[in-house]
Amino acid sequence: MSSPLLEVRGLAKSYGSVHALRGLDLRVDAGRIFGVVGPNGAGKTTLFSLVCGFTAADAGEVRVAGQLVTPTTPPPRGSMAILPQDALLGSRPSIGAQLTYLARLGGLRGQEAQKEARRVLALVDLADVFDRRPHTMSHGMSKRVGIAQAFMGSPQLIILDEPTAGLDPHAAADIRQLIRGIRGERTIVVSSHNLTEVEDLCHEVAIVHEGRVVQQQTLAEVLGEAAQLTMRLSSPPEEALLLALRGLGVFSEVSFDQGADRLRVAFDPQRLSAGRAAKQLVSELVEREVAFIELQVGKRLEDRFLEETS
Amino acid sequence: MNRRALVIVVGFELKRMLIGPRGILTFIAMLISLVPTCFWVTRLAEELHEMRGDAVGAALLGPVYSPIAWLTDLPDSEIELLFSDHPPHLLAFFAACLWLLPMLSYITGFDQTATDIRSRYLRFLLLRVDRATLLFARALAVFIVIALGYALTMGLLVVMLSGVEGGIGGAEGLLYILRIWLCVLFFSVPMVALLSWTNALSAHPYMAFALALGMQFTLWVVGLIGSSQELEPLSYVSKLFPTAYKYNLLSDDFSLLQVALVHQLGLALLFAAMAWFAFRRRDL
Repeated sequence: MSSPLLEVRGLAKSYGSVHALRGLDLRVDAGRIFGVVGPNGAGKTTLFSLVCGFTAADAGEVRVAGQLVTPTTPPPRGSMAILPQDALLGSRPSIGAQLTYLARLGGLRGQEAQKEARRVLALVDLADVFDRRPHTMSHGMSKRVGIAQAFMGSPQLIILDEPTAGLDPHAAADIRQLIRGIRGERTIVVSSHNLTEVEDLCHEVAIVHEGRVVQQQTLAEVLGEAAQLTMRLSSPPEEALLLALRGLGVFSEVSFDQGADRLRVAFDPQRLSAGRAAKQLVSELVEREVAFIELQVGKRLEDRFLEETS
Repeated sequence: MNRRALVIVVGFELKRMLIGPRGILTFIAMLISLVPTCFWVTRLAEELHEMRGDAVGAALLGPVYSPIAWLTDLPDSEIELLFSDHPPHLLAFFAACLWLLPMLSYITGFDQTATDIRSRYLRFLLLRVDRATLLFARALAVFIVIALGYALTMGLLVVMLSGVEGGIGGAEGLLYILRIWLCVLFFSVPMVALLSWTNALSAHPYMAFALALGMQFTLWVVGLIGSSQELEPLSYVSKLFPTAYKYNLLSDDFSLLQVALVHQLGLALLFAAMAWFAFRRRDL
């Protein structure tokens, strides 16, 4: 097994009587887009603070590319970048000057640093704000500037703490596109409450609950790849359809989830591939002229998330 | 500590301080306090020039030695020596600079890291520069602003005194002004280190300011109580603040000067160590 780019072992952190992390373990291999999901207060932001050395752990250790990270021994300069969740740029000088400053601290010189600042601003579609002051920007624009600074230089590991929170759908889609665009080139750890986004972007996901990782697997594993089909219909199905599906003898379980408004069918993956099961289901629906909107193979991340964290 | 990062952070902070409200506030405070001092010193130089050789004038100075000695915590004999060996107007300027320095240090250095801890701005920097460099660079930028402010004031004084006969006092006077500047800078080191510590302790600039001022006031009151009640250990408590031996810097007596230098250097190291201890592992 190759050594991971980021390895977290037994990490614990308390704030007074609040135990934010309780012996958390995590392993992120290079070149992956890794999702961290969890309810509010699960410990995601504390985890990122410890990984970056912003705060000291009570117990456990963090290693980036094999090197121990603590507040006094940060990771090698330029090897890692973060979009911190609530951090704000200073009110002066201009955004361009501040990004140039960060690029210079990252190891670039003079004109090169300024060029890099312009490049990353263009990357988040904010090329025209170079001379503007941070306080003149909207929340969404500030967030994009924060993302821009995380993409400066060539960090091996980029941590994005809720990168699309507060962004309009266009901007959020652009950021997802940006992340997809560097898939395989860098390692990205992303946290989000938007589970569809995590499903869409990530190779691997960790579900954090009450300060521990309760599930860390590839997305396919987490979703239970080929044992269930979930279908969103244009209207609730008639009982006859459910009976017909049960009568096929292919599915071990057929049910309609009123709350989630989804038709769920389970099958035995030893006997039937996901593709054949989907074909059977779709054929039956087409035969009965039942319109459907979406077909999901396996469970949704939201379902797994609710199972693991409730 | 990374030297290149240190230069970059100091340069950026100087720019940020000098063009921002903090820089403007610093220079307004310096204008309000030091420019009138320059005018007063210039007038004093003119009056002294007129009184030169006047035995009555010299005799009038006699009774003021004791109150000055009490105010400066120096022996009467030392005050007499200071008045006889130093140009009185420059000596007055020297004392005024030392008296004003704590306030100017508070105004210049009350927000070294506090606001940026509060806004979490430092998180943008911490993966690019280590904590020691960051803390030291911020303090160094404040020190440079104080040095620049005082250098400008000294320059202004030289220009103003050049119009008064015997005002600067030739090369000797210029050297004396340089001595004032160097002593003021030396005295500012523990003050900046103290503010660096209070900034690291609190995540609010006004709290950092209040902590430093509160410490000065508390130590002074405890020292006063100790002196008035003749409780010897308590009377020494006020010596834990950098202002304790500041007027020793006026003296030519090496033993007095040595006390001030060792005291301020010791406190500078102590406060710097406390600042680093508070900053190195704090949640940023």
